Order: sequence, then structure tokens, then C-alpha cells
Amino acid sequence: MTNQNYVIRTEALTKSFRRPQKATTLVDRLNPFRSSMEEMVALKPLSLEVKRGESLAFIGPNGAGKSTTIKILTGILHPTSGEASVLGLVPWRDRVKLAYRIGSVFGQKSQLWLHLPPVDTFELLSRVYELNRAKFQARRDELIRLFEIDDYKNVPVRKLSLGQRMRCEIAASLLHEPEILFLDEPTIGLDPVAKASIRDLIRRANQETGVTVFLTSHDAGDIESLCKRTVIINQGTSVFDGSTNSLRRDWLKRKEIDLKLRREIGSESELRLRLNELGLGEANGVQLIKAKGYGLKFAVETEKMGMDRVVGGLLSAYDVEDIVIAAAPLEEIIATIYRDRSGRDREEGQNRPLGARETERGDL
Amino acid sequence: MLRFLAAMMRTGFASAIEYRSSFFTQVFGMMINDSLWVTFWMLYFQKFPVLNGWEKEDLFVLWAVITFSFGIAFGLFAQALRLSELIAQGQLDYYLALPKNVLLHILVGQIRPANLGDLFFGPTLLFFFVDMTPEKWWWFLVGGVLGGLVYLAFFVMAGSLAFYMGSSEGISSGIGNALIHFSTYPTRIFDGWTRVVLFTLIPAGFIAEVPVELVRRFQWGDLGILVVGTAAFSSFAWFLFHRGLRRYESGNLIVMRS
Repeated sequence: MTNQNYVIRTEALTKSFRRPQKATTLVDRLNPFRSSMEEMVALKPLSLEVKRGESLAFIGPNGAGKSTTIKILTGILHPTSGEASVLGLVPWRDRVKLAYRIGSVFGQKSQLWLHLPPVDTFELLSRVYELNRAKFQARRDELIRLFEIDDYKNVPVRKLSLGQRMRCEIAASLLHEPEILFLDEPTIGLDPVAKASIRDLIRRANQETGVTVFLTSHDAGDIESLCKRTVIINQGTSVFDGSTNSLRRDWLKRKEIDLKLRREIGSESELRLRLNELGLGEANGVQLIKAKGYGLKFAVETEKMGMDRVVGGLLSAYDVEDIVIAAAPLEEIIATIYRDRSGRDREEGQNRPLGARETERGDL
Repeated sequence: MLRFLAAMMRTGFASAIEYRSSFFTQVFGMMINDSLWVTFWMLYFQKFPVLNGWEKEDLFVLWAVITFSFGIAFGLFAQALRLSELIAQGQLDYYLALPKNVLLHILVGQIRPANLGDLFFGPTLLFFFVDMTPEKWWWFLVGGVLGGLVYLAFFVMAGSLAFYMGSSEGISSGIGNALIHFSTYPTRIFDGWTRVVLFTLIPAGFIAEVPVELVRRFQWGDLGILVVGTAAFSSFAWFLFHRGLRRYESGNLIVMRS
């Protein structure tokens, strides 16, 4: 684990928690000597490598093991087994040394003092990280300018909007010029404008200072706009590790076609008859979603029928004024992968919305 | 480290004083509360002037020492009172993510105005009601600080039980209250095994008896006992906390610093 290119490396990292087994009867609950414990696996063997300067989205449904992984990598939790190296240090053994070199922003856990202005927390953090005074002041002023927080830097945090607070949180986490920035849900609860602005700041920090970004988020927009690489974990194990583009490309087996016709559509039975004559039925992966007035909408499973054949058939049969072909949103793709792995959709088999297949890591 | 501790204290004080009227009300409210307790003892000593060799003035010294110690422990290091709650609810993440000793960082994480009232009450009581010499003031300061450390160590031990037992707020506060109650009485009224308990399991003797003796009639032996007792309890508390920290399980509670 000494390759300088990798700032994070984990090998078969696992974490389990022990908790008392749930009592089934009242007698059992009241029994003070009942000591049966059960093991809850939070993280199955996880191996991961992150290069310096990379921006990585580490995503998964609630309870997938994302936060547990971040907490192990930042030295907050001890793993049950496995190895990890962050900036060449073992996080749980070298917690203090590592903390000087990484920054973390937890969307639901503030490091700002509620009753004090952000600049007071900045000042305190300069003491925590033992920053040189002149260097700290220059860095603070630079971040205040970059994050545009000059107008409210002296306002108590409790009076700030969520968006303003998050700007200050991220600025605070960058004060000591960390080499890796761990972000856990940094845009949670923000409006679209504030989200865009926070994403822009994180992107700039990554591009201008070269800080490695390790992001968890449930917001597909965060992932698309910030991270070139995505790792999806579910039930404590990695189910996808690849580029965000390939995630969209390889998992996108369904497209939607929206048509606006020059003439009004007749009855639905006539329409279906005509579509069957064209070979555009559900058996061939073409599903009619909507037919109303001048509008038609189809969902196409591209594995069953190519888009060229579907579009060609429709254009030959109808007088089309406008056509829109749209990909399913990334959010939907991610939701499909989550469902796939948790087995909730297994019964649906071939009819899964995006035609997703059972895949192991690396198959995509 | 000293700069960090000073910065934490400064920030904690600035945060506590943000609501000025509330801050001063809490400080003076606690001073009045302490005065009432002393008043009850004054009424007692009007009826019974001597209690196991202790007179009214000794009781004033006792109350001055314990309120001063309590004020140091929980006015300046207030989060010791919340330690089991912080552990059980998985709220140590913030401290673990920063490059400082977790226990020290937690302890200096909050100033509690009400207990600052205790801190001011002790010296005020001595100033007005006890005939003090500079030497007595010095030993009051030493005894008060060491007594404060014993309070802190005991509450850290009680709070650290949460690492081993999960939710232990009730037990921690119960045994914490036992120490407070025993330390508000002259421990000399107890004898036999009770005295053993008061210097081991519930170390009220190190807070109420020995520091008071330093002020009443200083002896190097008493100072030695106090220093050794304080060091032993502090070390054990330090060990118990850091040993337990390995079992910490974190949590997902939404948290703000205040």
C-alpha cells in the first residue's frame, strides 16, 4: 500500500456491530441474564482505490454502508477486519496525523458553532489545526472571497439559511488545505440554486487546488456534475465501480420517445392495431405510455429493438411535427441498481423498467 | 495544546454569553441557590454549634471548596455532564474527525453559565464569612482545582460506562449525583466502611474533606493524599475512556455545535 498515486486504498475492509438479539417474549425481555448477541454486518469485504485529485461518488441506498466506510477512512471507527491506507496512514491508528491532512463535511453534522458567526469557528479551527497566523488569515480571506460569504461572515450561524451555512461548512473544511475532502450529503435539503452553487464550489476546489473529493449523496445531480467516477455499494458490498458516463451508457436500456403529430390520433384500438402491423408491440419491447390528442409517448427497451427501427417505423406511419428522444434520468438508473441488488425486484425479471441485468462488479 | 484549550474556552465563553441576560440570570440564580443551602446550615449551627469537631466556619469552607470545585469541573468543562449521552447517541464523530485528543476536546467543548455561578460563589463566601490569610487562599485554590479534577474524573468514568453498556445515562447520572450529595456533607460525620467508600467508590472525601483540611490547618500529608488520589482517579478515568473509545459505534443524529 505504498503507491503514491493512490491516496485511498482499502483491502477486504469489513465492519460488523454486535447488538443484543431482539427478545421475542416479555419474559425474555425482562430476563436480566439474557445475553444473546447478534452480529450486524455493516460492511462486507470492500476493496477500493482512489487516485490523487480524483472526484469519486460513493453512493448507495440508506444503510448500504457508505457512512460506515467514510467513518473508517477518517479514523472515526475501527474496522472489524481488513486493511486501509489513507495518504499512507492507517486511519484508526494514525487518526490525529491523518486529521491534519483531510477535511470532512457531514451535511447533517455541523462543525460551526450555532450561536457564533462563522469567522469565530474559522478562528477556532485555525487553533485546532495549529495554522500559521499569516497563512491562516490569507487562506481565510481567500475562502471568504471564493465562497462569497463576506456579507454574512459575522452573522451568528443560527440566523443563516441552510445554503449559506453549507458554504461556510465547506469553507471551514478547506481552511487547513486538506489533501482529501470527504463530503457526506453536502447538498441535503438545499434548493436548486444553492445546490448548483455548492457543486460549483466543490468542483472549483477539486480543479483549482487538486483536492481529492470523496462524495456521498442521494442526489444524482451532485454525482453527474461533480464526479467522473462512481462506486455504488449496497448491503455492504460494492456493486458498481466505473465512470459516471459508463454508468449512464451501460445501464441505460430504456429510452422514451415523445411524438407530436400533425393530425389527431384516432381510437386507441386502431392505434394499437397499426403499431402491431409495424411490429412495434410490447412483445418487441415497445410500450405505449400515452396517447392523447396529437401526442404519443413510447418507452423502448433498446435491447429488444433498436431505436433506428422504432423511429423509422413511426416516421413512415405518421405525419410527425416534432420528436423528442430522452434517456432515463441517472436517478432512475441508480434506483434500478439499488433494487437489483437488494433483490426487491427479482420477481419482475425481464420486465424491469430499464432492462437492467444481474451484474457483478466490473461487468458493466 | 494550551493555545487550543484557551481558544476552546474563549469560543465556549463567547457562545455562552451570546444571550447575555440568560447568562447572567443563570450565574446569579446558581449563586442564590447555593446561598440558600448555606443558610440552612447556618440555621443548623445556631441549634448545634459543633458537629464532630466542625463549626460553622468549617462548613463555610466546605461549601466554598465544593462549589468552587464543581464550578471548575462543570462550569468550564460542562460536557463531562453529557458524556454518556454523547457516547450513546454516537455524537463523538465531530471530535474524532479533528486532530486533538478526543476527551480533552469534549470536556472543553461547552461552558455552563449556571455552574460558573458555583465557581464565583465559593470565593465570595470565603471573602465575606471566613477569616482568610493569603496562605489559606492559596490552599483553597489548590484544593479546589484538585477537587474539581476528582469531580471531572469521576464523571468521565461514569460517562464512559456508555461505551460498555450502551445507554447508561440513568446510571451515570445516578452515581454522579451520589458523589455530589456525599460531597456536600462533612465526610467526618461518617466512619468505618462508609469512610472507605468515600475515598474509593464514591470519592467525596477527596473533594469535601481533604481540600477543606488544607484550608483549615495545612499539612503536607493531606496534600500528598489529595495529589495521589487525584492522579489515580484521573489516570483511571483517562484509561477507561480511551479503552472504551475503541468500542464507539457512531450514529446519525443531526447535530449542531452550541
